[in-house]
Amino acid sequence: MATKLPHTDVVFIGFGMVGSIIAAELAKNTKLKMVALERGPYRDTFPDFIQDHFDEWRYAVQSGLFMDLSKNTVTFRNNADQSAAPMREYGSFLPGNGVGGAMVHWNGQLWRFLDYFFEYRSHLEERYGKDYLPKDTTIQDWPMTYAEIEPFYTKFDETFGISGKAGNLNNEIQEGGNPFEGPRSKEYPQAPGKIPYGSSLFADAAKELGYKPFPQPNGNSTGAYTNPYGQKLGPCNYCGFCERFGCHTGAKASPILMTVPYALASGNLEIRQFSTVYRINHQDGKATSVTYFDANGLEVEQPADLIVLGAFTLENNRLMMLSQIGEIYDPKTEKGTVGRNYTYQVGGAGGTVWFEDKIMNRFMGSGSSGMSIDEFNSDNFDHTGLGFFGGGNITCNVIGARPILNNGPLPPKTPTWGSEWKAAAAKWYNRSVSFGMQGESPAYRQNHVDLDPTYKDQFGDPLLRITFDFTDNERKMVQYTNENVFPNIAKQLGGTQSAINGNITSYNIVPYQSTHVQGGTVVGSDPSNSVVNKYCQSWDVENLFVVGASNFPQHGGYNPTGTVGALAYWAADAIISKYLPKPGSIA
Amino acid sequence: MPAPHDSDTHDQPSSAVDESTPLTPESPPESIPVAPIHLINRRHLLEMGAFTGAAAGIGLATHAFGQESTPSASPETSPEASPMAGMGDMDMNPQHANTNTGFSFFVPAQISILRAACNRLIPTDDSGPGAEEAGVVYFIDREMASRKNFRGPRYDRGPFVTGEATQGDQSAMPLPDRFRIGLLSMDAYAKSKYSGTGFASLTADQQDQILKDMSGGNVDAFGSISIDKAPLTPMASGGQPGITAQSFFSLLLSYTMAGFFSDPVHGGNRDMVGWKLIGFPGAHLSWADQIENYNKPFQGDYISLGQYQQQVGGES
Repeated sequence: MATKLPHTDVVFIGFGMVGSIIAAELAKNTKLKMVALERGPYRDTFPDFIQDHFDEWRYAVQSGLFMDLSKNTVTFRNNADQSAAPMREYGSFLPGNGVGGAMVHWNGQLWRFLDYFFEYRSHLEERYGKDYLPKDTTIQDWPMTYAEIEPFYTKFDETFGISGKAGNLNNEIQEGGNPFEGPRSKEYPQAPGKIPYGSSLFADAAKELGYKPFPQPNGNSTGAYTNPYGQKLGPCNYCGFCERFGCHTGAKASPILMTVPYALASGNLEIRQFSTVYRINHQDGKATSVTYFDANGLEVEQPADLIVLGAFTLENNRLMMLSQIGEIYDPKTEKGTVGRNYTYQVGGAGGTVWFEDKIMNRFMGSGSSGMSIDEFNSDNFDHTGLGFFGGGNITCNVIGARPILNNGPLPPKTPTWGSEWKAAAAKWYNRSVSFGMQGESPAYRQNHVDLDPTYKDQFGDPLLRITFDFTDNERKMVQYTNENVFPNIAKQLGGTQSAINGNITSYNIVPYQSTHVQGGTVVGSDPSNSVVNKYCQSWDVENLFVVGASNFPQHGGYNPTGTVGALAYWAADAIISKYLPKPGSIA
Repeated sequence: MPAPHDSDTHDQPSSAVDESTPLTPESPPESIPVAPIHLINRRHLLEMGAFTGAAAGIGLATHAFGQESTPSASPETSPEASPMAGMGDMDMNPQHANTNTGFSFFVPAQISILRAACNRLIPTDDSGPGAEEAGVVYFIDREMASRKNFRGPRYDRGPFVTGEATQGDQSAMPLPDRFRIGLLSMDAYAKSKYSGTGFASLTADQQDQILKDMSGGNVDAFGSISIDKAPLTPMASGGQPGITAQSFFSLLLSYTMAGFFSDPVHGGNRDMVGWKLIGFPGAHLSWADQIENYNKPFQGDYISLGQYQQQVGGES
C-alpha cells in the first residue's frame, strides 16, 4: 500500500529540460507549489563534474550518466515477424538519468526544424503529387506552424545562451548563416565560437563546391553569458569532453545551470531524487495523483492538480501505456494512437579524409563547434526522379577524439590490431577529418512502440517494446549522398587518402548511432491522429501535459533538442495563459 | 605532483613479486606444482610459461616511459632485472614489500595467457611501448573482478533467447565467466594446433595465427559451451550468445584497447603510454588558446585524471 502524501499543485515526472523549463516559467509567473520526481540523482557542475569528468572509461564507455539498464531498458525487433529481445547493453541510443536529463551529457548541437517541416506532408504532396510518398508513410503536418512556435524557439535560445549566425532574420537572408532556415525574429544570443582546423578545411571545401557553409549552432557557451533568469554560463574551454560527459566548466547549456537553480530559488519547488514514477492515476478524464517508487523502492502516492510528463521519449510512452491513458496503437488495425509514429535518426552517410601533412588536434573541440551545410536537408533540394524524400544536415564537427572509442578512424584495410594497426594509429589518429549527414527519419505505419508482453523492469512492469526498421526510402537517401555528395567533398578536401561510408541496410540496435528517438505521443489537430493536442495537453486527461521529442509526428534532419525546448516553452505558455485561468481542455 | 613513474603500483619489480604471492603452499594454482616457495627457481617457472610475458617487459620498466624505445634487455641477458630477482631471499620487510597490486580475478597461470595475447594485440615494437608497458592485464583483471560489463550496468533478466544479430548480445553468461572460459579455450586451441604447447609459450607468429583464426571465425567453437558463430562487433561483446572464438576475440580486443587507452586511474595505460602513442594529451582544463593554432602540434604535458584531480581538488 502506497504512502499517500499531502496534495501539491504541480507534479513533474522526470526533471530534465522539459520539466525544468515549465517549472522555471511557473516559478516566474505563479505561486504554485511544485514537486519534481526524478528517477536519477542530482549532480551539479561543482563538485561532480569539475573534479572528474575527464574519464572516458567511466562516462563514455561504462555509461556513467545514462539510464541504468539493469533496472529498465527496452525490447526491440525490426518488424512484427520477429520476437522482441531486450536491449541488454548500450547501444544505439543513450537516455539520460538524473536532474537535467540527457541535456547533462549532450553535445550541444542545437537546431530548429525548417519552417516548411511543420507542414511537411502538405508541402511534399503539393510539390511532388500525392503519389510520390511511399504508401506506408504516416508523416503528418504539425498542428502549429513554424511562425507560431518561432518566439518559443527564440526563448529557448535565450535561456540556454545558444551561439550561431542567423541565416534568415525576419525573411532577410544573412551572409554567413544558414540560408535555408526559417525566418528568425532575432540574431542568436551569442556569436559563433572557435572553429577546429578540420571543420575549417571542410568549410573551405564546401565553399569551393558552391555550398554555403555556416557555423553549427552551439549549446556550449562561446562567452560569459547571463540568461533572462539571471543564470550564468562560462566560456567553453574546448576540452573535447562533451557528449557522454557532464561539463567541468559550467559552459554547456544544461538545465542544472540555466533553469533548475532558478526554479528552486522560488522556494516553491521540491526535487525528489531517485523517485521512479510508475503510474498516473486518473478518473473521469482527470488525473488525481501519481505513484512512484522512492529511493528505498517503497511506494508513494503524490496527489496533484496538474501533471507534466516530461521524461525522455521512451518513458513518456511507457507511462501513458502503463497508466492506460489513451489507446495503444495497433499497426494492423491502425487503431489507437499511443506509440504511433515512432521515429529515429538516419546516420551512415558520410566520409573521412586523411592528411599526411596536417595535424588536426582532434582532441580539442566542443560538442558542437563544427561547420555545416544544409543544401541536402529535407526538401532543400529537388527530389524529382530520385525515388525518395528527405535528407539531412551535413556537418563536419570535431567533438574531441577521446582515445578508447575514437583512436580511429584509420584508413581502409588497416588491421584492427598488431604492429601494423599500432603504427597506423600513431600516424593517423591526429590527421583525419570526418563529416556526415544527420538523416531524416520519416514515420511509417509499421514502426511503433508498445508494451512488451514478456520482459519486465526491476519493479515488475512491462518494458517498452520498439518495432522499427529503416525502409528503402532512407536507404536510397543515404546511398544518394554517399554517391553524389560526399565523394565531391572528399575530393575537394584533398588529403592523402579518403573513404566514403558504407550504405545502410537494417536498423541494428548494437552500435551507437544517435540518441534522437522521437514520437509515440504525437501532437496533432485531432484525437484520431495524435495523443496530445496543439498545446501538448492530453486528449484524454485534461490536467496532464505530455511534452518532449515524443510529440514529434516525424523526425527531421536535425538534432531534436531545439524543437523539444520550443515545445516546452510553447506548452508552458499555454498552461499559464490558457489552462490555469480556466482549467479544462484548451484546444 | 608526483612523477608518474614513481607510483608504487607502476613499479615493475613489485608487480613481479605480486605475481608470485599466490605461489604459497596454502593456495597452489592448479597448473603449478606445490612446492615451498624457496624451492621454485626461475627456470622452472619459465618452463611453465608463467612469467614469459612479464619478463618481456622488464627492459622497459627501468626506462622513463614515453621514450620511444624498445626493450633493451631480454630476461636472458639481464637476470638481475628478472621477475625472480630477489625471490631466493624474498624481502618480507613491510617497508619494502608492495601489497597493493596483484590479481583479484584471474590466477597468474591465466594472466600469463592473457598477457601473451594482449602483447600481440598491442605489441611493444618500433612505434613504442605496448600492452605490456601499459599494464593492460591489470586493467582487465580489475574490471573482471568488478563484475561490470563493457558498457556498464546490463539488463540481466530472462527469458534468454538467441535473438537476431540486430538485437545484440542476449546471453545469460556473465562477462567474467566468458573471459575466463575464452582464455582457457584459446590456450586449449593453441595446444591442439601446436603439439601441446600453450598459447603463452608459442612464438609470436604462432600466437598471431591463433588470434587470426579466432578473429576470422576459422575456429568455430570454444569448448562445449559455445553456441553459435558471432559476427565481429568492434567495441561490443559480440552479437550472439555464449562465447565463440570470434566473440571472445572481440571481447579481448575491446578490453585490451580500453586498458591501453583509458585513464591510468583504472589500472592500465601506465604512465599514459597509450595516449603518448597517438598523441592524446589527457585531462586538460582548456584548449581555448590553442584550438585555432591550425596545423600545429599541441604544446603542453600529458595529464592523467589523478594529476588533474590533484590540481582542482587537492586529492589524488
